[in-house]
Amino acid sequence: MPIDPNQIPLNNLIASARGPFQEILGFPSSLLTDDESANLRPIVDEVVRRDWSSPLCIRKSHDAYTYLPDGSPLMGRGPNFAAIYILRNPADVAVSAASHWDKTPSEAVERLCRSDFKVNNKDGEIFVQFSETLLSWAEHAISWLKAPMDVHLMRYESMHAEPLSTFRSACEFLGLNHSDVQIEVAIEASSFSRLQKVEREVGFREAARPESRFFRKGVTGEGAVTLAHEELRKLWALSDLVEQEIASGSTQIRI
Amino acid sequence: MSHSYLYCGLVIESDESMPELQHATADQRPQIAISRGLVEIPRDQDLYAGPNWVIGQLEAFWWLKGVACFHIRADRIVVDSKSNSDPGLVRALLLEGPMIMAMIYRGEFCLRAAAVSDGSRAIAICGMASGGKSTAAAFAVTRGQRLVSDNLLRITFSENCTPLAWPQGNGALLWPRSIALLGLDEVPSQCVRKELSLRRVHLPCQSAPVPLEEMHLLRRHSQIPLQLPVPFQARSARQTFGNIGLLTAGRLWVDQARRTHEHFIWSHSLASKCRMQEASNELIFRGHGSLRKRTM
Repeated sequence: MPIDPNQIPLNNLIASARGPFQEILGFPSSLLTDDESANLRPIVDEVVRRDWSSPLCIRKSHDAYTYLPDGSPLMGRGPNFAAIYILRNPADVAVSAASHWDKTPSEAVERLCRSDFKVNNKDGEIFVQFSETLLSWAEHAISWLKAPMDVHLMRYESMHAEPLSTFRSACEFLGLNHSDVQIEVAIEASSFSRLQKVEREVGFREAARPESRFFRKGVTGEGAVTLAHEELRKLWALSDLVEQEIASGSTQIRI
Repeated sequence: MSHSYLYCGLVIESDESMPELQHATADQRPQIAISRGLVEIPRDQDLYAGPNWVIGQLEAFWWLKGVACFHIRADRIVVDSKSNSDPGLVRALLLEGPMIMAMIYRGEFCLRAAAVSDGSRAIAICGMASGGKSTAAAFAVTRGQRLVSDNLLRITFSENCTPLAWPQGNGALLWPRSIALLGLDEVPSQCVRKELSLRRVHLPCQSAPVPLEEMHLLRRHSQIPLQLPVPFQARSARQTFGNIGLLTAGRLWVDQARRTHEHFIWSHSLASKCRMQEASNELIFRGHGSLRKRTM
């Protein structure tokens, strides 16, 4: 039975959620500065990992792979931590992010090119998630692909073009022994069309604004026909950097 | 000089001033004593250790590295803070983990929830950390309700098994954007610590315990006011029971403090008396008339 996307359990949250911090350490993170909280996040993550009820604990993250002032990583390291990195054409990311951020495509491109880009980071207010350092699109990708842990690279375009083999590889990386039938059922349950239907009928609580759609289009190639030539040029340059890193063999990618 | 205060309906006696709290009356006997002293974290193998806490059946230790350590029992908390620690932060921390632990040792439990009351009944507002509970409660107060709790709602049961919500008694912790949105700029408030713009706002409070009638689960972080309603859903008693377990303050410590049975009874009683409902800001404030701000 497919999970209702609006009923994801309270104990299965994004890595930057403040909730586990408060539960595990016993006080609200709102009493600390962003830097103080960041120093404690690895401790919280280690407790989440250690005490998870099943052998595999999967959490999503928007953070780039960065390091704390003492040199330790914010997001864990191998062998206890591993990552699946979903890489998408930055031009398509820009168009999608523009909708989510309520910005123009040009503004989204500008953000994707910034090395100092963060989200959930406004003076005078607080969010359910910690401030997330994203860096530029290329720096974000390279930071994870070179993180000190096993990394499985999933290309968004491959998820569209060859869903079964793409998700089968992800399952194998995670050590999950699922049949092709099971994988296909899961792909159908999480299909964009199904999620769009749910959002149309009852809404989706992670939508950025009541009037916006979280599951917008889910297509590939939209950026190339939407963005201006100069914007595309900037993003292709970022994409080239990432592809060069992947081709160089200097990443931690385990295919 | 000794000071007596009320916190979550319990009388605490402190050597030092705690301006966050309301004073208890002279006839109210202290239940938890707060004092300063040296605290050493034990390395006892029989104690259950977490990242910043150690807990046993009768006593616990809780700390924030570089700021303060606390030794906690059911009737006493010893505070050992660093000389350069911000006193406001130390007090704010004392009112969190250490007090939660002390209450658990007393067989008392709290929800991580804000709550408001019209004087005759209370509504608890549960949800994700920093998810807008305090702001939602403050919004209700600007429309005539009274604040019962900001983030810790102690619940006990009357003789006829009615759940009672106890005033937390330390105002509402709000960020400047919420204060501005709600027009609370002129309401007395104090800085929590100088590094943060977070403020403790002294809103009109409920003074006595009041029956808890509803629990609302805020499932999204909403701007005020919402443009579209979120569908209303009542959770089953089983789902409510599960959420109460997850939303209990200090839930990771209950078993180690050997209060599992009491917590089960408490959770079951609460779930059977008070169903949890999905809510949006609009639903919480249903029945409060126009959304135009009223003068407090």
